[in-house]
Amino acid sequence: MLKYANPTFFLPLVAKLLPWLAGATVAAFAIGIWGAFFSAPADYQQGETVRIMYIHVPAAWLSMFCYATMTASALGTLVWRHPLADAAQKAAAPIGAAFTFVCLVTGSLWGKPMWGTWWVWDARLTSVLVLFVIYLGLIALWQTIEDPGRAARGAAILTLVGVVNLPIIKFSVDWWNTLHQPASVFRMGGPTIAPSMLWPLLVMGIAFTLLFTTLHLMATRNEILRRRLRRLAIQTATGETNAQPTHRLTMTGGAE
Amino acid sequence: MNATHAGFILAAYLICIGVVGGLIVVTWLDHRRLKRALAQFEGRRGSDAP
Repeated sequence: MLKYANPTFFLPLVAKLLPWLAGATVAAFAIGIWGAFFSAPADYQQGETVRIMYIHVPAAWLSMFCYATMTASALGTLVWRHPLADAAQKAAAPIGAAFTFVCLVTGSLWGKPMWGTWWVWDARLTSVLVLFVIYLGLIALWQTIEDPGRAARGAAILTLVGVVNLPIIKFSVDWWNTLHQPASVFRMGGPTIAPSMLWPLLVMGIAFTLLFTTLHLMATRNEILRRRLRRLAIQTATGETNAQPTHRLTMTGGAE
Repeated sequence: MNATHAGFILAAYLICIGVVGGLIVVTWLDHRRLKRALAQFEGRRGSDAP
């Protein structure tokens, strides 16, 4: 397993896996969307608006799953200093931010007709907004610190600090009185959703997970190539600098 | 389907498709750009070799 966590083995493996993953993602979305619109019934209280659930809930799951993946990568960076861990963590942040954004916007579009408001500062919504801000903060951190090693360590520490938000998101609906409904799928005593609505939701959850895996592999591959390019640029610049010292500043700048 | 709520449902799905589609396109374009840049570097290094 660890053999494939080496960039030399990782890149060919990704090239082989991506077409299969992309195909499985499209197939899962096709079944999930069909189930959400043509098989699942309308809710007896919410009517057709409940169909927003089939993208809102999987996006919420993935926003947290993505952060959990980043936390595992952060441990890989700080504890084992694995070369692929930092690349995987950096690649996951924009994907996590995108899923969290989708979760917030679709939740708002669901909340307006059901609650009569686009937004309330209740514990669930606010903690998910905090997660979105943490993602943006991590992306900004990587952009701001020029030295990749320092950026990786800083981002890993911030990620580990931010992981405290995950149980807050999960249990916010139990710990505080919120407008947001309590857990109805992953809860003690089993799901409270009708099976006719549950299966399309679970299929959409699988589709979103496959989408995340596909995007994450693509983005991690890009990060490895970016680092390879950076190293080549520095090597080339150093070589040319040694030959022509007067061009040093320009070449170093170009390398960055 | 309630016409008012259909707008909310449509907007939610379109935003989701837009964000996810945008992410896929940006990642794919980034990959193309990086591959091209790497090929240029390797080509330059090959031509510089004695």
